[in-house]
Amino acid sequence: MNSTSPSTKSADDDHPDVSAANARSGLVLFFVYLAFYAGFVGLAAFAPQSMGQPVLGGVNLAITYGLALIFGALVIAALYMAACARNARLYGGREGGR
Amino acid sequence: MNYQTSPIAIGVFAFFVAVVLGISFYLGSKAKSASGYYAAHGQIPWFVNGVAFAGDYLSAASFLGICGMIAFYGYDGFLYSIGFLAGWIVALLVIAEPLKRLGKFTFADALDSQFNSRGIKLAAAISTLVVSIFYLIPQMVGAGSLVKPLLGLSHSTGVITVGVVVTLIVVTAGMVSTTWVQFIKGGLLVIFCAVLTVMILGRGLSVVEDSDTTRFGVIEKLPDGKLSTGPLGPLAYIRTLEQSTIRMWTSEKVTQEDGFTKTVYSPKSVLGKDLLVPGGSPTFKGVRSAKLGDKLDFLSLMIALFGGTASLPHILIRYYTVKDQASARKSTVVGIASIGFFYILTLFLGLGAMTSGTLDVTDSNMAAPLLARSFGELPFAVISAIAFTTVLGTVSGLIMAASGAVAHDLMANFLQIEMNDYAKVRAGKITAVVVGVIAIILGILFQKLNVGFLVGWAFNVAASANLPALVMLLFWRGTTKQGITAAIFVGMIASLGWILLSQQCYRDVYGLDPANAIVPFSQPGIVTIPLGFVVLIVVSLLTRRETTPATR
Repeated sequence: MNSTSPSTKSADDDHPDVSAANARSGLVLFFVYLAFYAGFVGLAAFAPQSMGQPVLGGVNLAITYGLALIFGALVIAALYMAACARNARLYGGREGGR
Repeated sequence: MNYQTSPIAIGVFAFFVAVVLGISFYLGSKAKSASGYYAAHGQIPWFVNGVAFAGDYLSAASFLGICGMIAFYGYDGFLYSIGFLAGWIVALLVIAEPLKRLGKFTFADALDSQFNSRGIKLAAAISTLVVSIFYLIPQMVGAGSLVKPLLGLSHSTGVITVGVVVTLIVVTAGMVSTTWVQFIKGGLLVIFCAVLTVMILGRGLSVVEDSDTTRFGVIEKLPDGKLSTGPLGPLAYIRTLEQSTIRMWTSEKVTQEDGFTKTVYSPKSVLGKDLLVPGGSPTFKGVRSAKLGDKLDFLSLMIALFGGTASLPHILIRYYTVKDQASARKSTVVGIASIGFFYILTLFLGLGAMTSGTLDVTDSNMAAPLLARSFGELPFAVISAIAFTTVLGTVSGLIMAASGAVAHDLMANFLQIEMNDYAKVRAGKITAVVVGVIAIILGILFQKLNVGFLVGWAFNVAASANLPALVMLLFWRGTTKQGITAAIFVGMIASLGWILLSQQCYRDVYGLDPANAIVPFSQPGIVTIPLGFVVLIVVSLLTRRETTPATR
């Protein structure tokens, strides 16, 4: 079976250097978000009393941190898109791959 | 609770189903080839695919299960919202683009792209089937819950109705119709839940002064002695609820003289601030325990939710319906935006249901539709019909994933049965019918379980079986075909076995004393996901000379 669709070779983003740069950017952002998520899970599990403390305009930490994780995912996604656009500009024009 | 059938609800439901089936039959003529049936020719626009991600992912568990759990127990349901959304970061940043680059129709294609191994094909196909069927159960249970108040029919009839409609959608046009049904459903779900949230905030919070203490889920006391708040902003709504007292309930099983057991519900006043922190539900009560062992269930589930999204076969196949890696990335971002917005809404829907005085304490899955009924018959009809399409969208995606696993991975690739395009599509359609029948049977058998909890298990199995293989294939050059095959089988069998031996299964499935359960906590991910990684690494190290590919 042909495992790679011919159409995937066309776009700049599919250039091997761009893909590699995108993967690096993705991993950095992934670990940033992972730390943020782990902080939430750790607080909920090991300091549950702190989750009841008022933080954002009187709303408690549990709700505030939860909403921040959801909005944070959107911010990370936007940063990744920006990083991919930059990678395409930096590496997209090169001939060949790794 | 007794429900009255709503003619408006029946009309709206019939309209939704007719539109969805009409689209499927119309698109049927455009999906005759295997590429069309399994991957919509890879020509779905990225924005449509992104919203379809939301339609695929926001299942009965997300809508009915999370709202019900928040309405019954407060904050704990929101933990699912957070975990479900966080998992998309793994999909976007780690999995999406390589998967698109390496695969064709199914995620088995990607896993096997550098090995041409029949073992990987078999393991990935079985894993897809198991995860898809596990995930189907809560969807069908949700459908059965909905049909009672909507059409006045039994749980079983609801399950059968959804099973038949979904199978028709998949059989007519495969991934093409499935995508458009998911697109419509995803859009409708987010828009109407936003409308419902605006109505909740517009209504604000009011004290219910009645002598009927059997009416649960009402405000008993607001801050500053107020009787009603009037319209509230999102943060003010939560803040006010934290400072209020809500009439919840306790339940107790009582055995009567004739030997029958019944559940007795008694009112219980609870402070809002105690409902808006983790640990209020039976699922997460270990969070408030001082023992480390009690916290492991929570940690395990949160790990599984984080890793599970990017391991779900019905989500992964959606990466093959767009044309390139950039489209895969953009559609994931659209999916994250739609899904994230929806999960914020679930908090208000759940809290609105908790305080609307409409809860059915015997069925948490009905909280959202009954909340809508508190605003009138039309909102109830629309929300119920959307909930039905929610089930249709997700189930069609699951059946598509199972269909591809059998026809493409097992029959064509593993068994190497020579099939032309027509035969491949026919095999997929026959599989869809068989999986549809299995889903109906399981949906009837598991009707008592909260759908959110069931989906948590599906995430555990998916993350344990598939995540180690996907991640290590992408990031470790030493990965071998034997390592991938072993990791999938061990992760899948270990997580399934753990679940079947858990306290939750003992109590809710077997009807046995949960104290006799063999495993110490219900969610296996914290043990079985690392186990998958360890197995992959050890087996790969033992077999690497034979099979390490030259390039990664």
